[in-house]
Amino acid sequence: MSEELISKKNLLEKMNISYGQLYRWKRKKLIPEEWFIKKSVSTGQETFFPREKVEKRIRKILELKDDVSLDKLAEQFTCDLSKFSIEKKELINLNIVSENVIESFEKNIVSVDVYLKKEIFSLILYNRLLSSGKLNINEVNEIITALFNGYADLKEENFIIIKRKLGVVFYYTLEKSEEILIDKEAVLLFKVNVEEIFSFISKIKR
Amino acid sequence: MSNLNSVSIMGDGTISAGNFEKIKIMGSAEVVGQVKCNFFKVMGSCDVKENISMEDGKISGDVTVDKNIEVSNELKILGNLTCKGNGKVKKTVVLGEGNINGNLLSEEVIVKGELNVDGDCECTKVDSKGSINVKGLLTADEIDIDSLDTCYITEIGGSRVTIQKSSRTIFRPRHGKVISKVIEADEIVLEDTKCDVVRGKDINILKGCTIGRVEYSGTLKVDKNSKVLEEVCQKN
Repeated sequence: MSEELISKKNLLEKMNISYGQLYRWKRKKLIPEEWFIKKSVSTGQETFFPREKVEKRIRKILELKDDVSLDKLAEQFTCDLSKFSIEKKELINLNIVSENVIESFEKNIVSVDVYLKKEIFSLILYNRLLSSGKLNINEVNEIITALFNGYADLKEENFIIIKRKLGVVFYYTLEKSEEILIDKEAVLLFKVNVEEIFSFISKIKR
Repeated sequence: MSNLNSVSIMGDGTISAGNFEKIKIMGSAEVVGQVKCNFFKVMGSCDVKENISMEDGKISGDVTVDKNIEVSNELKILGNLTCKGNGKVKKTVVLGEGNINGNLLSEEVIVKGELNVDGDCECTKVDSKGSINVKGLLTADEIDIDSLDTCYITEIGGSRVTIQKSSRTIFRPRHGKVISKVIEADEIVLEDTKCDVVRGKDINILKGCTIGRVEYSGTLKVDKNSKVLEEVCQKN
């Protein structure tokens, strides 16, 4: 299902922003490169954006830009977090997760001294799934292992869905938050908002 | 970096990976590993096989960088630089010839020679009195181009774009024009420019321009010696 697009000129008018602002935010990676979609129209080449996403992003930028620098804003928005790293002991000191959870994570998923974005994302979700009591340890290990291995394909706008049907747990990712066809017999256990976890991680950084 | 060694090559030499205070090449050198230094100066020729980063650089000879170049302060190109990867520079001054095969990210770009970028050129301020060619997007808050030769810039976008000849033409007549597909900015002034589509708020088309379509939301002025095939006003 293709998402609704808005042209650049309509976007500027609707959000009351200038070309200068839009190009500046593009340079600062506040608006991702992949959101700039070029299409041929009757009047030549025009640029379009995924309407819902870009309007939400611009509203956020306008709300925060006077209080936070554009570079800090970019860190908050980008799910790249490429420079993020945190040591295991700091995770424990900050009470992000308990020592027991880290031990289990390192035994079943991956063992590192310095957690980068992939490891910290997986650990945070591991902690949430275990703490809920809705899944047993084997189910959590399977889900997090699959996530860890497929991490590179994960996007900020994804949702991770975990359900149980007839005693069997299954899981998948969604591009948007709404499902089209829902199996009424399957019980929804978790709907994980990837953007929320990235936002949580970015606040750990100092 | 104050306790670092410096390297000076007068004839032929090889520099391996490491951190240095100064690298000075007056002959011919090959840098075979990833190198970081405070000051990089080449008066001869140098082939850099890996990424190179520096605080300041001055290239008076010929330098080829096979990967990426990063300069935290100023890069002055008086000779010839070819970077096959991306460039990330605080201030780029091109008096000779600069060729970037990837993207160039630079807060300030001053061109009096020739700058060629195969990818995008993203800056805060661009001031070109030489020749600037960008195959991707040239974007900056302020873009000032007074072209010596014909410049090909696929897309131009920013806050203020001025393509105009300076009045000081006695010793160096400026015949250059700018050829672009799209120019978008809030304030646009164009002279001797050929462009398919110009979009902006306040647009002033001076002499010598051929524009396919102008879309404006503020004001539009068109010199009688220019051609605009279609004008579209988008005021509310």
